[in-house]
Amino acid sequence: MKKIFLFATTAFLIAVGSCKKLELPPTFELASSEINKSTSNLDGLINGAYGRWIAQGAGNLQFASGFDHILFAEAMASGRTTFPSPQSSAAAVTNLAYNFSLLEDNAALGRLSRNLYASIAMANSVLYYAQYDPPQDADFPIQKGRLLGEAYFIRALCFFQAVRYWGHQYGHNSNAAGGGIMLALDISRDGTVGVGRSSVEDAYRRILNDLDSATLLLPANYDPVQHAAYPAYRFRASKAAAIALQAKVNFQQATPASYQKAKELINRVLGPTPGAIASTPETGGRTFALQTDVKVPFNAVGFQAPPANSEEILRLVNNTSATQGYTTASQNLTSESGGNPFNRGQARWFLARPTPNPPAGSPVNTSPLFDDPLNDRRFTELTANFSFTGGVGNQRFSQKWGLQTQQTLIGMQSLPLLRAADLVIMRAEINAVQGNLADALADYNLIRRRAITGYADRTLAHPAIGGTQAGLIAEIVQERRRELLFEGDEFWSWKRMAAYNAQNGPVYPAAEVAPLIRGTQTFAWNANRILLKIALDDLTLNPQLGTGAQNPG
Amino acid sequence: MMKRWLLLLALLCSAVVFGQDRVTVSGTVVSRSDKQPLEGISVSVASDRNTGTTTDRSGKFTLLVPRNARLVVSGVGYPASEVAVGNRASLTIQLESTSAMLEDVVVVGFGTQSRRTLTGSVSRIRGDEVAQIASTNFQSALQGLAPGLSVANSSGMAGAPVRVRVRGTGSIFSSGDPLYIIDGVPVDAENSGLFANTGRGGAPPANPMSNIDPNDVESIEVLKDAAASAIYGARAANGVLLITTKKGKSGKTRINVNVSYGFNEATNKVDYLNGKEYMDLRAESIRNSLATGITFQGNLGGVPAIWLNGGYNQWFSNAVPPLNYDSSVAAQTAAQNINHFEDVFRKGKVITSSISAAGGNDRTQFFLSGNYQGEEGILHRNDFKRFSGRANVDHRINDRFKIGTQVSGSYSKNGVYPIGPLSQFAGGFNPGGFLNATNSVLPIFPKRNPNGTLFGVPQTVNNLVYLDENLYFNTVEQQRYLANIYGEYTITRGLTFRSEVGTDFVNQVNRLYMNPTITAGGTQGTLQGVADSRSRSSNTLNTNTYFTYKTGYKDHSFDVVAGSQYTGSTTRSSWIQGNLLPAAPTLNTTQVAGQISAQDRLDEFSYLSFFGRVNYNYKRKYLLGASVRRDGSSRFGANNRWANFPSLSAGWVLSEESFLRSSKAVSLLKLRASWGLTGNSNPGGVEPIAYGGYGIGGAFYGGAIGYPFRRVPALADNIRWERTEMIDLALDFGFFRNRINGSVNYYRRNTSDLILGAAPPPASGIVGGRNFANIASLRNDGIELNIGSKIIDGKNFKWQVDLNAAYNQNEVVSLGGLAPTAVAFGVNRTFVGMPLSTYWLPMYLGVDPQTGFEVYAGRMQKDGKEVLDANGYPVHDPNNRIVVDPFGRINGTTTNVNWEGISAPVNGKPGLPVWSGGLSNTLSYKGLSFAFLFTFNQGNWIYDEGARTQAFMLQTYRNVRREFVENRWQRPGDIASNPGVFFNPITQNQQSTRFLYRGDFIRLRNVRLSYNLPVTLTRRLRMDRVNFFVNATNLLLFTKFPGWDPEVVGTIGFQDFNNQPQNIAAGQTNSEPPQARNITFGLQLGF
Repeated sequence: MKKIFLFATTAFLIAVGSCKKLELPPTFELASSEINKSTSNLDGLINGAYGRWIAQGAGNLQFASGFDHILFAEAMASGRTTFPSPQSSAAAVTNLAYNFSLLEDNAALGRLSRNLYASIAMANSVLYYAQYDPPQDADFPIQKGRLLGEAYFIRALCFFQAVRYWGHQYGHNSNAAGGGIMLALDISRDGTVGVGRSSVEDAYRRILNDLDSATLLLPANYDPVQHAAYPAYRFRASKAAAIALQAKVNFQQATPASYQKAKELINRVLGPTPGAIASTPETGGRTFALQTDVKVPFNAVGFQAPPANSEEILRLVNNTSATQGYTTASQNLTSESGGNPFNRGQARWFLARPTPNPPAGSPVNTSPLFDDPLNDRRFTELTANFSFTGGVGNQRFSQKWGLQTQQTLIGMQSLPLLRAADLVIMRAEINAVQGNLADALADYNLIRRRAITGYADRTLAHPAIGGTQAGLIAEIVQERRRELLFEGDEFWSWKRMAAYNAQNGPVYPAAEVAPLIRGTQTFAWNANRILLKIALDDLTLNPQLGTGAQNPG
Repeated sequence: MMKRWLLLLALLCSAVVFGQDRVTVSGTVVSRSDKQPLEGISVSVASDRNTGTTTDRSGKFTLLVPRNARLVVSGVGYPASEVAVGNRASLTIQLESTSAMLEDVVVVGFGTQSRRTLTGSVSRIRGDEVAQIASTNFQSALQGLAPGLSVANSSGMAGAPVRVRVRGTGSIFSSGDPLYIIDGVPVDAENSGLFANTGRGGAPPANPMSNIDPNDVESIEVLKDAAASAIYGARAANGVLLITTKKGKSGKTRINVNVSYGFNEATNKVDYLNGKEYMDLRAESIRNSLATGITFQGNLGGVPAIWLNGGYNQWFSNAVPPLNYDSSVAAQTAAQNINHFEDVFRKGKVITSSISAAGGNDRTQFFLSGNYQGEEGILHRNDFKRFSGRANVDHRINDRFKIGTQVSGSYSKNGVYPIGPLSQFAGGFNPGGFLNATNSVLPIFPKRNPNGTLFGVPQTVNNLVYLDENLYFNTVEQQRYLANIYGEYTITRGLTFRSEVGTDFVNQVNRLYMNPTITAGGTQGTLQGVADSRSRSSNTLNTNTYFTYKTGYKDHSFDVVAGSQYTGSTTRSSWIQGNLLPAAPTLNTTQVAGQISAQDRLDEFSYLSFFGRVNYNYKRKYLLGASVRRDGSSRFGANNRWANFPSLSAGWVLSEESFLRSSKAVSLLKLRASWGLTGNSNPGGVEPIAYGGYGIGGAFYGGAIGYPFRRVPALADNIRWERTEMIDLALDFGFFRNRINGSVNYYRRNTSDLILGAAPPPASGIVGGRNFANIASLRNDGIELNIGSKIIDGKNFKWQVDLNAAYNQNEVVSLGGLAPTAVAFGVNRTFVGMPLSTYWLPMYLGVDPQTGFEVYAGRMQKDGKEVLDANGYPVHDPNNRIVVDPFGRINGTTTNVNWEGISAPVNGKPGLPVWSGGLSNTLSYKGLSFAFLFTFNQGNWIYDEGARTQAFMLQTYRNVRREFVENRWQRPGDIASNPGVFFNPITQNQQSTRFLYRGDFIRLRNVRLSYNLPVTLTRRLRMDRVNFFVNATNLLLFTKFPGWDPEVVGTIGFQDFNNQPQNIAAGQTNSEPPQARNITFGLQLGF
């Protein structure tokens, strides 16, 4: 009997002793209480934010990456210089985007919102922890400024994207309460507390403030002391990137003052002399030279750091290695069906066809957009012939996102987010609008000189320009289009120019600001219908919004 | 010293006295059922238990006993019985085995109980009932055998998993599966997605229960109410299935050999158009489209100019990359009708063989078995085989101490045919499986080109790639070892202590290979083949330590159990996937992959529990029971680590009362009632609900890890078990010496604290996961009825009928304030005041006679505002007719129909059955026996997603089901039930009530004809038993459901966002393969 009781007691004690087994820590998640325990954890959050911008999300998520932002804008502007892929009717999202018909319950909208705000939330977390509850390791004081700067940069980048999607073009009802976006600025605890919509004005003010902060905090160049432990830094924002983005934001605001501000900012990155690019103190001595090989910015091998004097101010790079990541990079709006550019589904954006349409089977060697299709390498190398039998005929389709070979499969995992060429042509346009025609011509020629084989600089009197300011503006707008073709600029440019004209008279040609035509309907630049709807999930799950916050139309 | 002498003297004297009255008795102990001699039976004198012996091989014994003694005869498997010797010198004693008496004794948690004094609801299923149904897993065989136990097979594929529910579905986001306990060990029964591999390559999840051999099962007890199940506490809310394996009996060693051989085929085949009909319909659809006069994207009727001739070659000439086809063959077959069903289905074979040996003596008993089952499924390359073995040994060291073990091991291999459509899988990972194979390979397509290659491009046109293992294979291998050892010590009369240590080890390996030529884009694609290996090892350690005390005083009886249980489980899952493979089929390992990704994960949980139970009865007439369990679990949030689960029950055996005792009609009448609390703490394979934090590994950037946001622990710490409060009222009855017996039960299951969570709003920036909290509640009300009747019980002819039926009504009581869209999104959503699995669809009203377009109901409106129902949900208004053109626009406008805006909950058409049950008949005449079992479901509605994709004429290669062509609109004025056929209509993408079907069915589940050779003959053959049988499973089906099979489980192959489609979308099917019809011939021999 004694033995039994002894045994039973032992069994009982063993059982009680196993109580500690009830505390099983999660094995695959880092508790939020751990995230601020080290500087590298905070750096990981920044990585997460960039990663989500370039390629995050399950393979079939739509609106998951920077490429989708580009393709979405292409869809909305298509018909002007590009038109959708013949496959586009197969992809509901692309098709609906093209028709401005995305309903609020379209899952793509929720994904778009979730992905943009994921990066914002990560940036907010870094801002919170770095300032109020910082890691205690020795590395933190070295990295603090950089981390804060990157967080501000990321947040501004995402807000800028968001305000263009959901808010009207700056200048139209900009001060209307609730016409802007959710300016989430605090650390996101559990997602049950949301924020309401700001005005467009407030959103732009916040974006520019954030970029000011980023400019102050970000390093100008690679610093081994600071960056050696963080190889991903190669693909992170620098001071020049913050300034360049700020220039783009000012440019998009489309007022004489913001144009001027944009030009000043561009000069801080490219140097003050139109027609030339020089290093500045804020580029850390780096010169963002335009490269002769126009393919390079789009064809860069994932993990190679950009050359010292490339035109990339910021390139985003997906995933862990040169051969990984494409699967997550491209399974999005593009419905990418293969690495082969001929098989890129909805990513097959086509340059507008010449008139008349070349006969089936014969290559397209002329273009209503390119004025020197024989020598312009942006035409000959960044677009390619593709022959469809039947109704759609031959096309020139984009190779910007599909030049890569099967072996490397880099397509769409390397995104030149900010290029010097964008700033050069931006400065040309601003100068032209401001009446500084010689300066404008200098930058215009700089762009063309690098792209067109055997190019001779043009003067104001060149027939394509016609000797007038208006002619120069019109031509620079075309040149911008040629340079930024398939990079998602067209839609935003259209809105920008229309807004500028609305405030300042017919500076831009009427054809450039004419309403978009979709079937029998026309859409003006400030039509409610062309705003994206706010995702149903945001409306129903965010108590600060409610269904009344939806965009009209 | 003096005392010792006195004692010796007294003993001597008494010996002299007794010696004068002793007689020698000899006898034989035989089994009551078959009159076979029993070896190793203990025979002792009741008044002097030290005087005794055991029977020999012939069941004989000889014993010197006092005159007029009473003998106590007992053995393992044979409860003690007393026999008066009287003045007989020789006697034959018949013993009834425990198994024969088991109708009166049921296994309950940590013990057994007499059915007469039982106050809980327990259904018992005999092992032989389970073993006779041809199925690769025992769960499938439980269908229709017990009231309130709902069993549905996910498909007719060999090895397919099963949905098992006890008294309705009791959860929304967590698992609804019952707890399975085999010989005391809670086992891993989760249909494993093998680390999220479910659906990848179309593999249905692996079912670890398919490794349990039905032949080894002695009985399965289903614990249904809280009185029975609360002793399993936090894991018992969905019911408990106690599986007891066979044990040896003392006596002659019995050898049983069972062999059977059978054939399989599909129970049903859906009817599609033949080649000519298809081509004619295609032309008609183009004519109809053009005749609409309306345009889409600049194309009249939506038909691009290139398609105008409807030509066959258009598929091929426009394809990128070019298709692999021979144009001359294509031209020849353009109007042919090639039956590709033959390339998908086959007549399969089933072979089972088992051998077992059982026996022992009064000290040691054993049961050994070895089994093999091999099944060729009804689909080509779907097969299952299993080898298993078992050794159950019990040994009595002395009168007080008993030890034993149950050990089993098994290995199975399941070749899996993919299911589901292409669209379910990211990146075109699955070429479409069964669904596409049956209707995308058109009857006008030849199978192969003249050079032997598959006609068309495998990943788009030709889904017969599964025929060729060089192109595709998908196998799941499982090994399972279950071992349990116990020691039981009788401390004093009635008080025993038992300790059990058990382990359950399951190892699953899934290998998937897809040749580069069959993944999307082929050898030019992104994937370029898949070589994927996934494994999951689950190891559970369980200890049960408990005291049992049975005592009585006069008319009072007590039965007390108290003890503790510890369960710890570790599951390690890992996968490695290779892509960019060479096309050479022999190179199908990840070693040759151009790109490899891999991951592993660890899931652990543990429970520590203390439990107790007291059953009391007075005169076996007034019954009381109470149990309590205290559970601690790692699965609960840190702030809710411990929980208590009590139950109370009472019974009144009216038939023991004086006013009924003498009744000849009433043999048993018992009223019983119970109340109790149980919990569900099984997240069901979803992401661990109790954890939060910043997830690692979601995003990489620039070669470094990036942390995405997840939930925070503040929420997770408060997660607790889902709580089910159940009341049960029942009447057990037996009439005419129990020739008619049964019970009627009413129950109510109120489940509260259901774990539910909305995804955080997108702009929160939190990615993945949900804000889980215990907020929702659910109610299941039900009535269960079972009646058994020996209609004829003659000497030679017997007829037994058993009917069981269960009614269940399920209702979501609260969603804790969450909007239905926040809980589930899609065809099934959850609405307060309605059953789980309620459909949310636009209402299809029929066909517009003028245009042939589809007509839908708008929502009810009044004064420009929507009218909402009592629960605040929109309602359909059949009078508000919206004619929708083939481009999804309101007819006559360019406005797209807002499908979400005309959707509403579908009332009165739940996805889960209201009534289900079974009816069995057993007729026997001498050695001949004939038995059949019908099972039925009533009241459920099936949403057939597969039908939706086969109801329209698509531009792509997809045949049309005949049901959608019959009585179709063809010209203005036609009053038709099916709309006109238009070319590639956009409405094809719209789910609606058009594809909602009544799911009622009655199935002749099993028919068995068997013959036992007469004993005279078997003796001559030196055998105990020779039995021949023919068994037919799923022979007939009565249903109005036009799809493949009305037995649906909620697309088990596909994980929806919350991973519990079987709870929320229980009535959805996506053209899963139909059930198999099986006819088996067999032989059972006993030596």
